[in-house]
Amino acid sequence: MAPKRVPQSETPAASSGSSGPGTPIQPSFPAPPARLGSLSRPRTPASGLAQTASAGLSRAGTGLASGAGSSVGAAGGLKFKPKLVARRPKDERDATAPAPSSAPSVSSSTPQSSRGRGRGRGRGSTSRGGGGSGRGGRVEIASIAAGPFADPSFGDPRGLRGPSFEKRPPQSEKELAGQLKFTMSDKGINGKGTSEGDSDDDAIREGVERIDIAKVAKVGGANGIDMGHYFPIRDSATKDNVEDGVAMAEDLVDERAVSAREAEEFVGVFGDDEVDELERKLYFFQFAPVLPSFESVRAGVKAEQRVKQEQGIKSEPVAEADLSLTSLKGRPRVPSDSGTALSSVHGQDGLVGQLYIRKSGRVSIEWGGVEMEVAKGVDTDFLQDVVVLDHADERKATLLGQIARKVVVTPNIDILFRESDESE
Amino acid sequence: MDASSVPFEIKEEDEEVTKDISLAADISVSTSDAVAKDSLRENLMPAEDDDDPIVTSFPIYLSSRLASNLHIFQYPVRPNTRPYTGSRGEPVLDLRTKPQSGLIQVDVPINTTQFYDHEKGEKWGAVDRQTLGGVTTTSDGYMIGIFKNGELHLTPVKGTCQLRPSFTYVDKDAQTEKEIARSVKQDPTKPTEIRAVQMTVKSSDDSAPRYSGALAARKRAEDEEYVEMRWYDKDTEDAWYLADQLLSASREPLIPATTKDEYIDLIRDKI
Repeated sequence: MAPKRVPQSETPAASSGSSGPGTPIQPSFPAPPARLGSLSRPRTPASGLAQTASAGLSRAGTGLASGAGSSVGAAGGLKFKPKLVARRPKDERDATAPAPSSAPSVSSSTPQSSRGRGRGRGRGSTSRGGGGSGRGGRVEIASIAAGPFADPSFGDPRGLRGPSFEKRPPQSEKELAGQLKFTMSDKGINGKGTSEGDSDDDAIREGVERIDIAKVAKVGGANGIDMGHYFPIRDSATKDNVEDGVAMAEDLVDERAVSAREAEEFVGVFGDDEVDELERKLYFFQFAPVLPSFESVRAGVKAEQRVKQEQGIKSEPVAEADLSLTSLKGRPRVPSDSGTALSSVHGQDGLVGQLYIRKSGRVSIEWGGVEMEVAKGVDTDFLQDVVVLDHADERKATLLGQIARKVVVTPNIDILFRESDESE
Repeated sequence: MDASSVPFEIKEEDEEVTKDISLAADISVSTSDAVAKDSLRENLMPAEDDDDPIVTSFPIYLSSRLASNLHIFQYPVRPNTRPYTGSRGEPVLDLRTKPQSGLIQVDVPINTTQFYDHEKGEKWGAVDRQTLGGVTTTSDGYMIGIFKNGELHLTPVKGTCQLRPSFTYVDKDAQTEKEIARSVKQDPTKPTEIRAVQMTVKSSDDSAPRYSGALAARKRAEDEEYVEMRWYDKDTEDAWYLADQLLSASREPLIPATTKDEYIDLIRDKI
């Protein structure tokens, strides 16, 4: 710390205030502080005042030019001398910045423990089978990427779990409170959908809603099938980066939201969910409007025989059929005549294909003999519910749950054309 | 004999060639090629590939039990971290639909303890609820999928609806003011909602001007009455029961009815 400017000639009035570095900041003024109106004050006390004021000011931090707010000019009037405050180095700024954890009633009204509370029971999940008790505490993800341009594959679930899991809660609390504080005053600026959506309610109600599990890469438990195997990093080189990424994560608390979003892009199509997590969620699949169709397994079983011409789904009877469960007979060899058995997708139940997940994380679907590529859709920040509307006697509308992820399925044209050519 | 036996051999050579080429290119290209070739060998079981073996697979079942009832409600103005569920204390209070027109209105609660203007609230009689409204549209190819016991069950979606705040209370307010002004001059006429009015000239023949297109649809929608529906929240018995209905009713394999060529034609025609 730069030594404060002790006035050379200490006036008796100011001596107590300006002696030594350890003294309290508050200098003792001989008189009320000089004001612009008091132009007639004698010079000496005013200058002493200015000196003490400057001494007091300089005590406040390093590098402060101890210019006084005002000083008496030669003419007896006050001369304007603005304080030149040098920018304090980062260390000091951080040191003196209010600690996020001390953010007052803002966070006190949102007890951190409630974050872990399974308030939204199975929030974002279907409440199917088993009472749908969402495993409560969805802890939100901490920063996991070193910025938007981090290695794409770094979003490895394995790297995310384990060490980073334990660190998350305290880190999140801190940054959460910090973000809360931030967003309370600057709503919307922190526009990454983490807590700004709750900023209004957080102050009011208890129970902070953390990031929806569906939005970011999740933490899976240690039990169960490690789906990380199915969506591993692309190549071994990035594995090391994952650890670094985790370490870096803690430095980039503020970018958590951005990073989490970016990371999500590179996580597997279904996220790095464990199998049991997979089973608790509703996924929105967007298939091509035109899909290979199926004929009824047994004639007359299907009630609906609507013509779906406008949908482009035609079906024609197939010459031969292989009913083995494991291998779906994909290509009817004999082109069929235009059939009479028209059925739509809507009337059918049964096995129609397979979903394949490869080691690289690539996902494909084989549907009715056609290979399709599966990609992660663009997830939304807004609410999407799956609702069943029943107009029967009892008019019921039932909420099944939120859509967790969106998946887009497109026919693999390359394969389609190649195989088609070759079969001719 | 298998018609693909001859091209089969050719493909193997191609496979090696493409593999070499693709080393410089995207790896996934070569795997998909390899897979494609493999799939011709077997009955569409994409074989394991050295580069990118299949790690796991799920059978996919189509389910139709809820296919004519399944809807997606999108709330563009609401973050997905704050769903309208009872568990969060903000359940949907009411739901009304016009089945023929596909209009849907949803009442959701408003928190009146904070960020709520009571003055305006009283002025508009909004009380503690807000109405969101929207129209249902249908689309092809949308499905909801759930995983269960290592199986994926897909149910087609009947319609999608975007629910946005509807400012009918402002309309009512404006209309009320108009009526008050009007009733000052004359006896109060029958107050109705704002409706489209058809101006016609009486004529003897049948060529009375009629609505067409959007206007007709709107008139139809206005004529239709809302149907009240009971709302069952998530995590209720009813919800769980219905969620189970998302599973397919049958595990029988369905027989594909479209060849690849036909499928290509279908796609082309669609475009």
